[in-house]
Amino acid sequence: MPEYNCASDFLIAVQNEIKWKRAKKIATQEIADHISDQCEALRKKGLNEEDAIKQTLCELGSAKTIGERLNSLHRPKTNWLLILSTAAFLFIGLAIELVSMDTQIVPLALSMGLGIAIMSLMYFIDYTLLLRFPKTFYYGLAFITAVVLAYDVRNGLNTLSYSYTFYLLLLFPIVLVGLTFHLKHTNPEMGLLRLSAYLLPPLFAAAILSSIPAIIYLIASDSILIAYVLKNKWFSPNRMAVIGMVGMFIIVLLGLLYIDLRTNMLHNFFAFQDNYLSEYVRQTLRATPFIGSRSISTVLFEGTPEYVLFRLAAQYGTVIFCIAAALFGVMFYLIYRVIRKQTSYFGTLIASLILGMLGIQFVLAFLGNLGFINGEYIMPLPLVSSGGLYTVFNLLLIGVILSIYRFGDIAKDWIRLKQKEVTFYEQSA
Amino acid sequence: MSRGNTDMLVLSLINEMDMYGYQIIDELVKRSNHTFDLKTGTLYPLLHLLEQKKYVKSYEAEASTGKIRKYYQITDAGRKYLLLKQREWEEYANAVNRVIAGGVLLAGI
Repeated sequence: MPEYNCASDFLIAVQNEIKWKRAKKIATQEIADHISDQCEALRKKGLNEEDAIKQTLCELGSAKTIGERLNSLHRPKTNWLLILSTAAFLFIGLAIELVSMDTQIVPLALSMGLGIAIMSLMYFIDYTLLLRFPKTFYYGLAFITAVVLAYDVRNGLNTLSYSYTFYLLLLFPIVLVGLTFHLKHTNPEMGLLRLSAYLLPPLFAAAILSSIPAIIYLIASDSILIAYVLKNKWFSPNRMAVIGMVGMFIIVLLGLLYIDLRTNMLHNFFAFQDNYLSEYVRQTLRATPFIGSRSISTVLFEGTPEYVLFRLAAQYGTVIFCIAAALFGVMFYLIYRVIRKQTSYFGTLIASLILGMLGIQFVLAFLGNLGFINGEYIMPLPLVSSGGLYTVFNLLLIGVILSIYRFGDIAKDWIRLKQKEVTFYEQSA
Repeated sequence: MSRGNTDMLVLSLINEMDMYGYQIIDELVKRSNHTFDLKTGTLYPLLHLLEQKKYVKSYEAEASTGKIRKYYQITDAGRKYLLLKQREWEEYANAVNRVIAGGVLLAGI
């Protein structure tokens, strides 16, 4: 005699062994399908409904054993290595500030505390919400960006490092991944055209900001997104959509050219030869040994957390650049491992974009500290220097990566399940 | 049947065509003439583990019965792993055959 009277009792017994609430339904869906298939096969062999279920449940084996095995596979995972490396970067940043006393420790510690709280919150929040409410996130972010951009414009947009809009613009590609998935299901013919229209406002804002890094990042991430959807044939654009897309592309190109002619932003970005600070940095580093100091004054750079690498290099030798590259290499590798482990395209794309965001900050900080870009465009090293919104923003990104890692194994099935629920509700309505 | 061999059998089936859970068990029973009767409690955790290791990937599609089923498809990494397992198995089987053949020869003396 089977231990259970019906399939639902058996499934509940399996689910009871699975501790992670989100994994319960996902992990047992296939077993429910299996029971249905096996019952049908037995009915075809001549058994009645009741006997077919009884025999199926007998043959399934112990619900407890199945549940225990599934439980060992489906658990929320914590990326301790990434958490530890983040903590190490924060500690190094705090220690540098404590030693140099350049910035006020209390605001820095407060922003770190707030950032850690947001990172912890992101760890527990289901990142697939971005997929389920893509328009809410897009329009919400667009509204906040518009308000902040107006604030930045009013304050003169002096340096990129202190422009709040820049960080908000970096978030757009993440939100656009959710929108792309949404359009794939709802509008395959005009989806690509609509996606292109969604890409324009952040690019426009980056152009107003005259921010070459933001423009490069947005164009690169948008191109990756479009190449990805074309490669996977998510959309089948009609002729009108293709003409619209080409038109939009020409408008973007002409717009960027016009803005560049007016502001000379591309020239300014790479005009490090004309920049006094960049020249000073390069000359100082040329005279600095690999290990050790030559007592070169860095008084010009006091109170500028963006130049933390340069200042340390002037004090301890250019080996500092190698150490920083190695430490960030470890962190980027840890994030790359999260990307590799993903079974869902959604998680892979978002984690890749976050790696790109941290990467662009690191490259701009590194090039700036070596004197290879205009001093105005230098960025602080992510997680190590600065504080304020900058630290909070980067800890938020790490929080999303931790969430992706935590949900990684079940994300694909979870998304499927939620999409079915949405379809079911839409059909019911 | 050890877990490594179960991996090999399941991946061999999926390597021929994409299959869903019940189909795998059914096919295994038919082909092995009821020698390998894989339990549900073994198959699904194994499939989930193979997916986590990226040896297979899953997608949903309509089965021949008209129902939506979760299909498993082998990946390039899965094919490499399968090849490795098949070589190991051949070496093992050859070794066993050599011992058995020796035993038969000795019995004939």
